[in-house]
Amino acid sequence: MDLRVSEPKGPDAAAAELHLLARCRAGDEAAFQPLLRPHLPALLSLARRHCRDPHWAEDLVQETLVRAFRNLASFRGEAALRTWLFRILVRLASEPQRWRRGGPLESLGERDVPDHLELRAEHDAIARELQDRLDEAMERLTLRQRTALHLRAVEGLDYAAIGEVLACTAVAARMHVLEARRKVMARLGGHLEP
Amino acid sequence: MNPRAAFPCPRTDAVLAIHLDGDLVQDDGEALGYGFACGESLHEHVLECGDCQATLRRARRLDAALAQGAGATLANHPAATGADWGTLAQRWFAAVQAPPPPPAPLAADPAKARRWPWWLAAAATVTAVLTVPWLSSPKRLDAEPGTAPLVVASASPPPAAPAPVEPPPGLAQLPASRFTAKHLRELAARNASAAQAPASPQTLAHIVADDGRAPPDRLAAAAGLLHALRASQAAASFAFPALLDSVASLDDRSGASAQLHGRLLDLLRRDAVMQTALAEALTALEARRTPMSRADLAVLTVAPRLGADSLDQRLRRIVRRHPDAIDTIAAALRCDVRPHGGARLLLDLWSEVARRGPLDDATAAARWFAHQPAGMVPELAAELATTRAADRRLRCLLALGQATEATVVPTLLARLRSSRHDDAHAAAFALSNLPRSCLTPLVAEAGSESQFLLRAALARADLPAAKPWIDALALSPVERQRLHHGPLAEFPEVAGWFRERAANGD
Repeated sequence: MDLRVSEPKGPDAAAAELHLLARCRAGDEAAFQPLLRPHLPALLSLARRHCRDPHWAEDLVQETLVRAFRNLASFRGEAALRTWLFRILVRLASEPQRWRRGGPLESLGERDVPDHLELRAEHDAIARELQDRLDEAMERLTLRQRTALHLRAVEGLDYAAIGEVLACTAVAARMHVLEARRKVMARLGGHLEP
Repeated sequence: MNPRAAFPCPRTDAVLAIHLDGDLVQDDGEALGYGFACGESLHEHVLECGDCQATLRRARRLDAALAQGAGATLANHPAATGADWGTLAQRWFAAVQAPPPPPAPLAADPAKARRWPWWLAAAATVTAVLTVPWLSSPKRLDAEPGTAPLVVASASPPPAAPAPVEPPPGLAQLPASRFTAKHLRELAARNASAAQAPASPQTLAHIVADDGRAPPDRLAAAAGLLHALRASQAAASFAFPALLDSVASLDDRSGASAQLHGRLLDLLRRDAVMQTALAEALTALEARRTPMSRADLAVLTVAPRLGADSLDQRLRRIVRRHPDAIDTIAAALRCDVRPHGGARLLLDLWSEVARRGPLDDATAAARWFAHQPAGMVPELAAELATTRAADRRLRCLLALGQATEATVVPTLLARLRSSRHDDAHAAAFALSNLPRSCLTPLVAEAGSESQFLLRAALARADLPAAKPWIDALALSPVERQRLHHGPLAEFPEVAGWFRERAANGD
């Protein structure tokens, strides 16, 4: 399966999704798997944003699929299917007693960094450090801010769709995205400079 | 750093919203709180404002880094690469399409069992009252997953298959409930007609334990039992012991069986609810004062096979209170399904037992480390190389002596030549427990009398090639008995015979 985080959906894919959705509503369980398969990478990506432990993230996706399966009849198709799935996942992720976020963050100061690096290795190390700091900064956001920024930057959702996932208005979603960006950029400091 | 300082210019928010996110069109600006920011004037502002340009550049880099990081996270996800990704998706869908929560009101307390209908009727009524006006609202985009009537329908006591299921009267008129009822009726009908479609936790448990079933069916049944853990307390109270009992009964006698066993354990390992339930069961076992039941033994069998640190800690506490439990755990680990850490766990448990009183280490090693998987050998060797505790080193050596592979010989030989006398004697003692096929190649090496410790080891193993060395010592019958069957505590003295008497003989 293609592991791209966001899969652009053409008219054919949209029509196929509608067809599968109709089959699911008619009680055809076999249509459920092809209907949801294209969304699994995006779901796992968002789950990983919420659960540091990959196994917990997998469980979160699994539970999301279970809920989606049970509730598919109530999905009217007025919002995008992926948005609806994100909404389920975010709701589940907001239950801290069920979905632990994993162990504490490893301090960057505790990592072994070689003294001498080749040019390529140096580039990789810088990129890795940026990702580490980015993950750390994202960890410190609220669940809504983290979700909003992930959906905006990674999934490319607009404010209205983010609002649907977070059950808030588009204006509130925009504020979540901007506040998240502000906090993360402040924490990353000069690491975002080219 | 102050987050406010990240955006020095007051117009940066609008710049990012329009130029980066592109969600704001000019006409909607006012509605979204950016009425002051006319698109054209904002564009001019960006061209002139160095702060906004820099922030826009950094925000673009941030978004790119987030997208790149998400892609890398997925690409490096343990079970989401290549063929494994398909397996992961299959596992998810197997759990999704497993039968709905089974019935079985198995509450031990009849009073509790009587309370169920009251609770459920109340829940259904309240939910129906709340959801009917809400569902009819034209403003509603889509049903909220957490409050949709289907959730309520599925959370109500699951029907005893194959009886047809009817939703509560209040919900029957709703489209969603019609779907549920139809779906459940179809499922119930299928359960009645098809033997492979499980209907209850009991059936699912039988399928998991049934060697005649195809592995996918057994895995799906296990996923159904895991699903039941989340359904209701009553369902979970049966599903949990049933699943553990089924998994504990599996073995690794054949490759297919071992593979299925491994996949089932993987299923358990990745299930958060199961992990929590196991941890709670182990905690309860720790406080248990009565003899252990079959269900307790199943918990003690499955928990060490999962290889989770948190469960291992609880197992240690159990052994601290109930030392006999180590025998069950050691037996469970003989099934080669734990990925790693089995040797470390057994050594930790051994330490716990040793703290309670005197223990013959050689006997303990034979009792707990004999017939363990070959994967423990490198773990023991690594532990031996890193530990600073003398008693743990000694246990590692004795445990290595229970191996049946020749791969342990170099490790033991190296320790036999150690300057630490205790280590050297323990290594020689461990060597003497190895199969003769592993020891025969060492006879040539023991030719020199300076190798008295190696000679003692080979003589203790009663190797034919060692007979001349034993005869030269002129041992009495009692001494011969001590040589071949004496405990570890006497071995230094026995080894001394090979050094002193051989020298005197010369």
